[in-house]
Amino acid sequence: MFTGVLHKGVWIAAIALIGAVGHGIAQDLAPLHQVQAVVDGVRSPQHAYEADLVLRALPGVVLTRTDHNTRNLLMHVPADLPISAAVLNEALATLGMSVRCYQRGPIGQGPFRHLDPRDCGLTPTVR
Amino acid sequence: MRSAHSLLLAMLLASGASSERLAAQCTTYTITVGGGAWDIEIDWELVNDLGVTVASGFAPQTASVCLPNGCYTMYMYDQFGDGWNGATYVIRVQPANTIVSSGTLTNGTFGTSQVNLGGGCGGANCSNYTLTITAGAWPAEINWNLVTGTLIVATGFAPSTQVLCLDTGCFVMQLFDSFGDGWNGATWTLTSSLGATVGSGTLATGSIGQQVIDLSPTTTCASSTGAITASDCPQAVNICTNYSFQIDPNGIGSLNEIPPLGSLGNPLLTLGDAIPSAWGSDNFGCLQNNELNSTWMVVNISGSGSLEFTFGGLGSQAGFYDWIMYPYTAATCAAIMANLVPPIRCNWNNVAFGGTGLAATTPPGGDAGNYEPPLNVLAGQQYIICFSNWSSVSTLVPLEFGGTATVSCDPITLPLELIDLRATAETDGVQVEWSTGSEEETLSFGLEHGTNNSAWEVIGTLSAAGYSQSVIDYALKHSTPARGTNYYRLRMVDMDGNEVLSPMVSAQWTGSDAVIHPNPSTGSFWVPSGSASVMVLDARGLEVPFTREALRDDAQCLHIPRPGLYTVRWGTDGNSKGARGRALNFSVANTTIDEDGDRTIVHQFHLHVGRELTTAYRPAQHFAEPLLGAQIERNGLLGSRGAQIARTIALYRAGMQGELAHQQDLTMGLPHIHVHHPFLIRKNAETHQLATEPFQVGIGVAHFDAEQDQQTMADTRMFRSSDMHRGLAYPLDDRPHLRCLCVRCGSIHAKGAGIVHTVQHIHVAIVARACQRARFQSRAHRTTGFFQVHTVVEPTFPLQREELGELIADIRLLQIDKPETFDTRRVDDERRRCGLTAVGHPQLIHLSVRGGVLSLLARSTDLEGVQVQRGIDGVDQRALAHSAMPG
Repeated sequence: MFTGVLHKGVWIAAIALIGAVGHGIAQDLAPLHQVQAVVDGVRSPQHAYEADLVLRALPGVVLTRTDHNTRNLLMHVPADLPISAAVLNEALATLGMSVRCYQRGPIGQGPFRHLDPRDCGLTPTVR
Repeated sequence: MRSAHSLLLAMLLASGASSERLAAQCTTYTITVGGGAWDIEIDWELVNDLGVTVASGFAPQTASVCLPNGCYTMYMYDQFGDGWNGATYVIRVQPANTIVSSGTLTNGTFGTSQVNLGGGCGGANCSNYTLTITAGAWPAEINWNLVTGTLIVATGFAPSTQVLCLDTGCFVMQLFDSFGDGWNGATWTLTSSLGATVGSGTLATGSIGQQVIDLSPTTTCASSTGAITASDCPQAVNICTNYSFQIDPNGIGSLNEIPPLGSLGNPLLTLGDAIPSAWGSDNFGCLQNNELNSTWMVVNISGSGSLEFTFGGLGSQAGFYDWIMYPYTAATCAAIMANLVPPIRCNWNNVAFGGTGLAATTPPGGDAGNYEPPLNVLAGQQYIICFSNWSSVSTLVPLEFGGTATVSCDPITLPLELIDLRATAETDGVQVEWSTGSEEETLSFGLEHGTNNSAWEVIGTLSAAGYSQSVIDYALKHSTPARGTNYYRLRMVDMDGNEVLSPMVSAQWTGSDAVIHPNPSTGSFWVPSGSASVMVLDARGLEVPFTREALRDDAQCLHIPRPGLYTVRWGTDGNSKGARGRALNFSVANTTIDEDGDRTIVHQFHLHVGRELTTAYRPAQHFAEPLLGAQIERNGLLGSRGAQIARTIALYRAGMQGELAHQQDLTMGLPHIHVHHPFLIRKNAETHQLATEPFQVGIGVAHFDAEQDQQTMADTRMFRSSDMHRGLAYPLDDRPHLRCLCVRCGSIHAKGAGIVHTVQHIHVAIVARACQRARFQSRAHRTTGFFQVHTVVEPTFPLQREELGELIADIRLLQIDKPETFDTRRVDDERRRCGLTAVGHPQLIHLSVRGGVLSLLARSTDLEGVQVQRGIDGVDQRALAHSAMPG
């Protein structure tokens, strides 16, 4: 139970001390790659979910997330999986979607950041 | 166009009270539903305050109904799950033809809207107010809620005018704009019956806003607080049920507390793999991208029980809401940052709609991948949640807590804090240990034991310390446990005589010769003797490799990397002793080659072998749904919440009594159990929820292999009685029929209703040649005389939305008791009823009933066959007709 409030200085010292030890015991990540892209053609959350179903069915794909808000696609795939923008575009074609700004690299390399659709040639949603 | 008879406008006189009201006076209203791009997907029902459906139907349609004044709820459904696509419902009072209520389902499969007819909503002393929302330049983007406390008084879109009978108090007008540029000139105004404006406003910019309406003569209403910005753990806010919890892209604050992905505090999990979370569920993990836009929340438990909660339920989830939950104390924030504390629950959303949280049963419109099993909690405990707004949306996130536990909006202090309770099987009995974090006027602990989770006896009592602010450990040894599962709980008594029961724990005791521990294990376990003569056999009796991790004089620690059921043999004389060990979580991955030999399909089934959970597995079978076991687990009702593993798999009916429905010995090898029972479960009294009587059905995904004479089915889903109501949009004296089965954009929609006798369960199976992944939904209701089936299957056919197809069947012969067969002579009529044009996709051939099995056959270029089966409890399923129709 929360029974008291530590002094701010104690907090900082405790966090710094324990953090220096604790982060050293992180598990080794599986050799996964993170794929990011902007998806063109996403119309709704359900539509985005359909894209996820298609992409998750691709052999080897570990995780996908297609977001209709940010129009961002995130995937985790084995490092040796030969997946590419062309593969994604082929898979998503039946849903009327395509990807832009395809990126791929090891996961856990710095903070995650969404891609900005405007940087990928997509204009803001218009009525 | 649907014919008018598809509308049920039954003035259901469910009680004397409603009968009197109806007879006394009613007003004629017209209900118009439709106008969207995909009206065919729409269902709706209007329910009065007694929970009785007074009208229901589809779209497009306009119907007239005479209703007494009252507070009604419009339940809106969309089969496809993408909202009503511009369709609306509009209720007009006649003969003035003025709109009294209107609304739409903006997204998802399900939503509700309060319908106030004649000022029927509100307390006994309420006063009438008129709420007017003008259109502005872009009315289609506008949505709003009028909320007081945790109650949504009214909801709708623009333009709209509603007469509301409101009690005194504080109200909040929640304003939404789907495009995110404000209301573009639209306004809301609340006026009293005397014409005085008591509140007004607009959403000037953005997608969300809140404005307070003060109708309290004595108190001052707190102004809207806007988005919560508790971005750092030390600034966590206390939360309880709150329908106005607001978030925005607030970033991660000044601290990045969440440990790296793959660490103790933020484990890496993968949906569908063989490694479940620490609490037994299969999910995508925790915060895969760490914090993005975080809100830290503290949950204060005021009543022990099973904790459930939902973020963004009832169709309000607007993005991916990831969250991670830890036990909370004053030291937790530092411990999280130091990666010293594992989460107790977390979820990385599978979908961006339908809500997320802890639930025994996935809520309506929810996705099982967004929900984790409930958490057993004790009064006085605290938990902290880091909520990450992955989609960077600005919106309201209704927070709702449920389950049997209660949550306080503020921290509480209880006389006793039980921080641990565990039972450990030992060779000479079961050791039960517990610890208190603090005590105040605590008198004693009574240890109770049972073997069937219902009959309890006190096996020991310990005096409590009474007063303490430090951790105190207690222990009692149960020297005469029963072989098998033993359950324990504490009866905690204070000096005033008050008693509180602890959660239950269990231990599997195999007798005095039990020598493997822990059992089950997570892969590493101790066996006696330092002898090198150890053999580990799998369930097939084949020897499997292992590693020795440690060696003591009296025991050695072995490690087996793969979960499974194993027999360990050891000894020095060749006549080794044997004992069975069982991994904590039991998973099977099966790889098969499809019939064409051109594709490898990997089917994985989570088999969490616990006292409450089961699923089915048979090798060499094709499944349309590769994750049935996991789904069962997420359904929660059957989910194992403990780490104790029984020798048997026991399937419990989900009823209040926890009736044992099926049990199978595991010691003979891999289990094969059909999960096919409909379950009536607890009533849910929460006011805003739809159901008065939730129920559960079993759905089987079947592939019948004639050569091996076997089939497997497993899945259970939770549905509510309201789901049943809307399917009964047919004359009740009609005979059962499957109304239509449509293929659209990769989905097959089947709907039906009818009358049968003593239906125990309905299985619907569609085996698609090209299907790698399918989603099943089915509804059935077990009651005397009625059942219905409503199935949506979504195989991954390469169909375009324009390529509409349909399966239509006039199935009027589902008199289960009789052997009957029929064909689809009335297809044309039913096509018209469906409002679709067939283009040559799967066609239903016929449906037959024989020997208690319904078989529905279809053929197409895409489907191997379609089966609808009915089974009988306790009797092996047999598919009398397996459809393998040529394309």
